[in-house]
Amino acid sequence: MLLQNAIADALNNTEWAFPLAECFHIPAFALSIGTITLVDLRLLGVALPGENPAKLLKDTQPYTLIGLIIVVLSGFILYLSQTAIYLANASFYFKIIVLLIAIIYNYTIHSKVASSPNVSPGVAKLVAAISLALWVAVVFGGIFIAFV
Amino acid sequence: MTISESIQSIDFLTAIRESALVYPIILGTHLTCIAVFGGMILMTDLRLLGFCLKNLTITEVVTSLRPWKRVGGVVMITCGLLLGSSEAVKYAPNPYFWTKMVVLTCIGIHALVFRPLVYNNTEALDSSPVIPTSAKAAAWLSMFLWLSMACLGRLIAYYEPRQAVQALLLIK
Amino acid sequence: MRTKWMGLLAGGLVIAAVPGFAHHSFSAEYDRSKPISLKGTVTKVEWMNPHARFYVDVKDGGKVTNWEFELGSPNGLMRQGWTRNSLKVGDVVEVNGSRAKDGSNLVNANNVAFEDGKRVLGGASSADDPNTK
Repeated sequence: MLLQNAIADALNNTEWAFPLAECFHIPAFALSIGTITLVDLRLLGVALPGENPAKLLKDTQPYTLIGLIIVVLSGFILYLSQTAIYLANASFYFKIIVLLIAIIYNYTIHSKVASSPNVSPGVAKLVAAISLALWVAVVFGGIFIAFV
Repeated sequence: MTISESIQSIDFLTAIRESALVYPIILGTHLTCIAVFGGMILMTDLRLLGFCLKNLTITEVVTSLRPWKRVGGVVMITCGLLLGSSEAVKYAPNPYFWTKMVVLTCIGIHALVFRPLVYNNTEALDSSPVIPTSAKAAAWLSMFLWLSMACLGRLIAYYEPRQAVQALLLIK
Repeated sequence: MRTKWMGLLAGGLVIAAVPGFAHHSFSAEYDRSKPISLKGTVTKVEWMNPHARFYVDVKDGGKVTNWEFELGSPNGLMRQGWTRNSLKVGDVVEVNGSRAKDGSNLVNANNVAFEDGKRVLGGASSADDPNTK
C-alpha cells in the first residue's frame, strides 16, 4: 500500500505540504458536503422550497463532483505522508469505509430519489436523513483520527 | 494569573480542555458547520454571481437560506468560543488565531456594508437586467473571506511557540 | 471601498502566514529514524486537548535541561491505559520517543517508563512504523 514512497519523502521534507493539502481538503469538503446537504435539506422540505429537487440536484452536481475530486486527491496526499500511522488508526478506517458508502449512496439511491418526481415525501425525507447522517459521520470520523 | 490563564481556568472550560470526548465532539460540530453552512454560503455567493441556481430568483435563494445561515453562524461561533477559550493560554500568542479573528471582523463589516446594497436589496437585483457590480463584489469577497477562515482555522494547530520561547531564554 | 481593502489585507495575512508555520504531521515534525531515550524528573504535566504534554528535567553531567514531550489526546491516551493522574510532577521517568527534526528539546513520546517498572504507552501516534528502524 505504498508504504515506502518518494512522494511521502517529498511531503515530509517540505514542511508546508501537509497543511497545504489540508487547506484544499477542508474547502473541498465544504463544497461537496455543502451541496449534497443542500439537496438533503430540500428533500426534507426545510430549505429552498421553491426549487424542484431534481433541478437543484442537477444544478449542484458539478460542484459536488469537483469538491469530491479535490477532497479525495488531497486526502490521498495526506494519507501518503504517513501511511503506517493511518493504517493503525481505527477512526481512519471508519472514515474511509463511511466515505465509500456515502459516495456510492450519493450517486445511486440519493440521486435517484432526488431526481424522481414520483417519490413519496416520507421516502424522500428518509433518504435525505441517511445522506446527512453519512456525511456527518465522515466529518466526525476525520476529526477523531487525531483523538483515538 | 494572566487574563488567558484566568479565562481557561473557569471550571467548565477546564473540563472541555481536559475531556476525552467533549472537545473532539465540539471540534467535529464546528467542522460539520463548515461543511453544511459553508456550502450554503457558497451557493448564495455563486447565485449572486449568476453561476448557478438561475431558475431561482436571488430573493428566493437569499431569503430561504437566511435562517439556516443564522443557525449555522450561532452554532459555529458557540463552538469557536468554547474551543478558543478552553485553550486561551495557547491561543493568546497564536498569530493564526488572531488573523482569523481579524477576518471574522472583516466578515462582520462585509455584512454591514452589503446588507443595504445587496442582501436586503434582492428585489432590485432580480429586476436589474444585469447583476450589479456591488452584488458580485459582495459574493467574491464573501467567498474569499470564508475560505480564509477555514484555512486559518486549520493553521491554528500549527503554531509552535517553543522556538520563540527558547530564543527568548537564550537572550536572557 | 473599505471592505475591499480589509479583504485584501486579510488575504495578504493568510498568504504571509503560510511559510511561517511548523510541521504537524508526525513524520514532518519528528524523526522516527533517530530514536531518543531520556531519563529525568517530571516538572510539569499538561493534560489537555488536542495533545497532552509533559516536561522533564534531564541531567547531563552537571547541566540540567528541560525537555518537552508530546503525547496524544486524553481520549487516545485513556484508550491506552492512561489516566490524568498517571504522570505527576516529581515522578522519575524514562521516556523513549522521536526527537523533533529541528533539533529542539521536543520529543514525541512513544512510551514512558516509571521507576517502579510500570510501563505506559505514550502515543500521539501509537503505531510502530515498520519502515523505520
